[in-house]
Amino acid sequence: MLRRIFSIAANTFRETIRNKILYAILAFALFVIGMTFFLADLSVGDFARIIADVGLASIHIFGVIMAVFLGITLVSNEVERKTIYILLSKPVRRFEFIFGKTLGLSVTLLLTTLAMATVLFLVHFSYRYGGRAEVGIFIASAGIYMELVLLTCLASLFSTFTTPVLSAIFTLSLFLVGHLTKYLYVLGDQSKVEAVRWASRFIFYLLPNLENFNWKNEVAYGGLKSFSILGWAAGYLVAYAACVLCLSCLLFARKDFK
Amino acid sequence: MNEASRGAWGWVAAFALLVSIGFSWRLLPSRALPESGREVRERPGLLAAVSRRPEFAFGFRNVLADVAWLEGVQVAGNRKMTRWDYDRLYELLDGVSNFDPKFEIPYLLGGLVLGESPDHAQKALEVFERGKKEYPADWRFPFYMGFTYYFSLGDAVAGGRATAEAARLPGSPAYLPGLASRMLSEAREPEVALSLLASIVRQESDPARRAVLSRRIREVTVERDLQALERAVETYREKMGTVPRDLSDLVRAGILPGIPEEPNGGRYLVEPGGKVRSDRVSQRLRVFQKK
Repeated sequence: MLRRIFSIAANTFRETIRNKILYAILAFALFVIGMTFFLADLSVGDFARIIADVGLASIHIFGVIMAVFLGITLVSNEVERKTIYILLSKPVRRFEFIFGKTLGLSVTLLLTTLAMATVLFLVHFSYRYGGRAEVGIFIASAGIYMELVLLTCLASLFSTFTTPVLSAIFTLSLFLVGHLTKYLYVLGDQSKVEAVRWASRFIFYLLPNLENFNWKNEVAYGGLKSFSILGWAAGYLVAYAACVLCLSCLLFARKDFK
Repeated sequence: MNEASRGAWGWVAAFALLVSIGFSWRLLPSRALPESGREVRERPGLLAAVSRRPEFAFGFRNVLADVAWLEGVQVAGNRKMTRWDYDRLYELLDGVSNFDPKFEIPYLLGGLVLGESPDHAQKALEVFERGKKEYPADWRFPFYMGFTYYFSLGDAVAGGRATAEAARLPGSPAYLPGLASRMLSEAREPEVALSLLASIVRQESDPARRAVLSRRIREVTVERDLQALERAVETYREKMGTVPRDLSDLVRAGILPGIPEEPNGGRYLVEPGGKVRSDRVSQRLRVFQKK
């Protein structure tokens, strides 16, 4: 089973890494990150912070674009090109296909995030006013990567039952909502009605909480106070991603390709 | 596509670009060029609206704080700051602190620039106050507040008190107690200055700094005594219609129980005009001395 998942993952990785759109987005992202070197000069004081903030925001934005636009075509491309019939006629189970596809794209995203984080690290390090080797850039990028993996899972879930355009809309909506769920929790807690409080908490836990992976602020102020937060966030990612992938497998298993 | 047609397309593209440059050049004078965007009165807009609800920054709070700060730097860099520029700067600083309350530089530099305008000095104090709340151990916030009170609002009492607060914080420069005591003495609050100096001397372990502070205590004591004696001289003048010839006249008239001792070992003297001075101290304690 694992061998089949890995071979689908390897194939997906090869396929996505050859995607010209991915290179265009990556090149633009690297250009923007490089430009932070000059942008920081516009500030007065805290120059290196501007590089770290803008660079991490670029990694985040371009990473989300990559995750969403590659994620939504994970399944639909195979259906469109009718390669899904060949794949599923072989001894490959449908859940292996979903897991393999998501894993392959996650590896691609790992490489692109690492490339962007490395360039940002070098720009930050080489900056003449207060530049230093800021390991926090990699820690914050790890958080961004976790978020991208979760978004990939969500995109693949939507791509199992709807069109790529709708999948993109749904995934981007969940990206926005995922950064607001804490607000929902706080608002619900202000209600005097017990049922509303419980309902808001339920929705809070049901929706992805992407702020769990947001450590950019900690990097700007000298790193994380405790590394245990990384472990908790990774645990959350594994559990939530497993839930989303299982749901994808369920929907994909019921899909009729005749 | 053969070689010749590829070359033709290239020439057509270059020609089209040249034509577009011609049109752009022709259109240039018909559109007013903004002078670095200065005369464009931008409204606070989306950035300010989002800053009031920073949750809607969708995980990009830091970078939005940077954007607001960089815009603030551009506004503050204007050579001739107008009232509108100061208002705009305050809005942007407000946005920065909403997005990222821990961003330190905007409080300090933005507050200082705002403090240049007497109409915006209160807003500068608000900015410093917010910074002080985030960094209570940083002496620079109360120090700059003291600076703004004294120079922009002309309030030596509040200035002295804020500077005294800064002087008590760790890492503050050695000159701060002296500056605070000068401000407080000038504000006719020498007792506050003395208690500040006494508390700092108690914490001070360096003998050289202790000696400087002790000298300053003597100067403030002289200032306190001079102020008390001048008030007594004024009372004497109101009562007797003339200035006392000697300070002992104040005691004889029952205005003072006794003449205070000059802490430098000298004497207090009354001048014909009613001014009181010490024979050991040539200048009164002021932030700025008259030359």
